[in-house]
Amino acid sequence: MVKLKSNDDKEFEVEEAAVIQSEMIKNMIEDGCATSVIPLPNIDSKTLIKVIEYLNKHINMGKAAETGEEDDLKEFDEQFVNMGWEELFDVIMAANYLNIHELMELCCQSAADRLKNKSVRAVREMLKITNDLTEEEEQEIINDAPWAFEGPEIDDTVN
Amino acid sequence: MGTSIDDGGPFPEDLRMDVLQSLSVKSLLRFKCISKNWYNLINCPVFVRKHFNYHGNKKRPKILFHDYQIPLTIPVDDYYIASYDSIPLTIISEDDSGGGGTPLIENPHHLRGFGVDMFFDGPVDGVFSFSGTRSTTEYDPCLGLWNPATRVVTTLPPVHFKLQPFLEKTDDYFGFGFNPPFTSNYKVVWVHQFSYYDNMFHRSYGAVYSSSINS
Repeated sequence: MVKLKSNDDKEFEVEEAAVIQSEMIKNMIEDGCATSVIPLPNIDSKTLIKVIEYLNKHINMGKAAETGEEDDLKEFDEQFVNMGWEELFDVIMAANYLNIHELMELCCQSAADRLKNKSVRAVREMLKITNDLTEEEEQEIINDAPWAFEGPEIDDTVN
Repeated sequence: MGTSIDDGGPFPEDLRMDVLQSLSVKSLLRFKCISKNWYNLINCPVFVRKHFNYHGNKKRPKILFHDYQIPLTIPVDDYYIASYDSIPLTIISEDDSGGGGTPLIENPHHLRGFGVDMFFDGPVDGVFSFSGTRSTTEYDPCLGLWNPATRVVTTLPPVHFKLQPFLEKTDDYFGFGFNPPFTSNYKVVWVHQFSYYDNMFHRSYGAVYSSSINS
């Protein structure tokens, strides 16, 4: 077992087979730097619980393919990314820091799926971004490619 | 987490690239309008290449159809074609179901006005070069680059060859590519061949265009 410590001082025990899906921790273990507790100063306990849930589920990826549990895993992934924006960003940043490639890909794709076909206004509102372009600058960008701002697929809703 | 100071949104730039790389060109052109930070990110060469590679790796070869009375089907990396007013070009990507990358294009109206009798060459990293003549009655050559994904057409500055009066134009050739690779600097080489009356005597003139300095 490997012990991980979140930035709010909570400790979690994780099976080595699960935790080595993180390239960063795998390297630490190989280098013999993981003898006691591994502190993770960038990750809070709420996010770490999500990450560990993912790691435990994906522990036997190869085995899942053999036993036909792929659908189960796919369903888990779909459920897993069903979270709010802030939570999703926290998991993306944790996955990036821990270097868990598959989790990173899953979450980035989920974020992209939520953004694609959204209107400019909807994206600003969803991500709480303040527009700092002047009206003229904005119009210039629209004039460069007016077709990109038109189409039946463009969605102005925020969800 | 809230809004960060740079107004790019709630997470760092390199992670934003990871999220945005799978989006379609159409979405990205629209999202340039979100803020200055997004505008700069989407325009930056690092992101452009990342995006191209992301989609390029997944894509099967594309086919450029050109309907020239008798329909022709030509693998695009081979070369070709001539056209009339309506420019009946169609680009088909076998893997466009995902909605990313180069959109399927039919009758690209944005190419109108750049010439008749067009010949296309390419693509090199998704960009075609073309040549045509602006007028059907006299020879008024026009060369350009066309990116079907962004629908941007760049015409090349005109080249004036100083000719000896007895020469007349018989043919021209052009080719293009990156030099050096991965610098996003397109080079177009245009070779004009002129001959003296009965084609007994040829003389070639060349011109080189470099997209980084636009001349």
